[in-house]
Amino acid sequence: MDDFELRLLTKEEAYIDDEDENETTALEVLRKKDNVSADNTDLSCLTGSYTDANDTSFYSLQPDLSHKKFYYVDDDCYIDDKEFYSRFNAVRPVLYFLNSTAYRDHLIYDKHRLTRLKYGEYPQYVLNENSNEKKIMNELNKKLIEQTLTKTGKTYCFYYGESGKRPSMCYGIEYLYKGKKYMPFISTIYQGADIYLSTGDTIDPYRIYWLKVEPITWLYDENTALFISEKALVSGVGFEFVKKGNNYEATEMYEFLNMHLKQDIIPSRIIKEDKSSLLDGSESLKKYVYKNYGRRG
Amino acid sequence: MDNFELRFLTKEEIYVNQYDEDETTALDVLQKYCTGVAARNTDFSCLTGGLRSGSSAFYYLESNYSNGRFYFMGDYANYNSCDQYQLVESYKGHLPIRPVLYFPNRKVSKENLNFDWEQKIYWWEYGEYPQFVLDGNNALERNIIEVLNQKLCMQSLDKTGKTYCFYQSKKNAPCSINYVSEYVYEGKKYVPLVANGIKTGALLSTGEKIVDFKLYWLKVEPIVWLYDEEKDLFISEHALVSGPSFDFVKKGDGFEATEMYEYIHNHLKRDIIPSRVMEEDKSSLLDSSKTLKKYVYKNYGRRG
Repeated sequence: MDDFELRLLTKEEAYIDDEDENETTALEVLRKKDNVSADNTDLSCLTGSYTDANDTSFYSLQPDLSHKKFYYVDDDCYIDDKEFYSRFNAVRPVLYFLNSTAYRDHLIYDKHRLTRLKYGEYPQYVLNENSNEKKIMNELNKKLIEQTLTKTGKTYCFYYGESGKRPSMCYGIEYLYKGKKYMPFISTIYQGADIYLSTGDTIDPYRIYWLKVEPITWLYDENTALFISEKALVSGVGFEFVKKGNNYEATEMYEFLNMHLKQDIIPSRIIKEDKSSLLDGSESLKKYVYKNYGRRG
Repeated sequence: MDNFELRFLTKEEIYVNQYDEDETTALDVLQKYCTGVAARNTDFSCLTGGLRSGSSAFYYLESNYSNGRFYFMGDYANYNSCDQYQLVESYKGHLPIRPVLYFPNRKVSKENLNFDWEQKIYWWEYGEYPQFVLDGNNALERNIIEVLNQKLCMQSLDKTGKTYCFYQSKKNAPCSINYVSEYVYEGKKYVPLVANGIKTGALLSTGEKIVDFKLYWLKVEPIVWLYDEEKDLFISEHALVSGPSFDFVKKGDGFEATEMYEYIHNHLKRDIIPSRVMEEDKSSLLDSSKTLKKYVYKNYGRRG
């Protein structure tokens, strides 16, 4: 994959003035069809977002370091600010490529004059027990408790913990089952009765959720050549300083975006030579070798 | 472990007539025991589909199977009104099992048993089985749950090599035979179970209802048996597991041809035999789970 960077939107890039259009500074692509707002993925809900998967997220913008605050877009698309330690806001990353325009061949245009790109992948929505996915859930659960699932070798990093306490860094393991990738997530926190997943269910502590690893959809802003994630991908990350210094590079968010998320969106790969047998059941998959690029030790 | 057999209680062994003591035929130990002839379900029994009434299990009794019907221990609330047992058709099975244990070739020595001075009964710990769940409301157990969950998600838990067989019964669906592995963590054994379609309304020992797709960790604990001196046999304190029916799975129309017989003799009898940690490394059991990896676990009644 090409060289890319991730960052958060700035206050200006997300600002819309309802009363005076001339004051609006939001990116062109975000002005279209209310794209300043973004829905949460289920992973974003599970990792502590304020709002539902099918509801507009509160997502973080770049911080104001001098006042130890960061800005965020609320569910009404207004911009407000919060203390550095707050972790309920979601991460809606912005992606830009360094020295490459190869993405142009992969842009997807729609009738609303929106341009998208599918790039990278990430655990996003849970398998739904009320659909034909229930059978897969049962099979995955059975294999998980027997520890016989096939790992791809890739791990996902996120922050997760009890409300009011500093969350700990957790790693989710990616598994491969019948050619598709899943990450199990066992919730340990009661998130409240008013947070719903895309399935319509609230989050039950100690239930096994299976997140499907799916391509990330990015909205393309032609003027700036920036790609803004269509969904808020994950929550639980604050802006506290985790290194010496009081610049953005010393914050937890910077570390998360650059050391973890940037690697985590790079897909794990299946070695080419045995690709034909991907159609077989998981048993035969065991003999495969999986690799991922940005693997952490 | 010695040669032992398992069976059910008979109608007579649980029969109490509160109006006429002379008519009462219940085992002496059950007459003395605090819950009488009633037994509590373990969480494993609830998670495998065990029906319950109040806090007591409906459990199977020895029956004449040739007519395709079986007896079971009735509603605890009515047990003093001579309705201890009821007769139902075999296909309505999937009730809890409260086994009776006895040693055909030897008399039990009371020296090895424990005596409860209050109830004046002997009891014994023999064999082990997954029984009650780790409780997320208890801070200590919550920590263990979280570590076990984390390790399971990473598939890095240590297996003892033993598996438990159970039939998971679901409402309006046939039972399916399942095997679940036993894991060891910090010297203690646990069995994970994901609830799947259990709609009996049973409450677990934590006071919680069973939630579909929730992961439960069952602690593998010694089985407590109540000793009846007169008959020289042991009755499990709790109803241990549910699921198997009395459907015929072999040719014939006797008990030996039923799914229950097969389950009791081919599975439960082996499953209560503890897995063992090899002696040579026993000292390091106090170390963290990492060192446990080098251990070799064995269990007697291991299935292929």
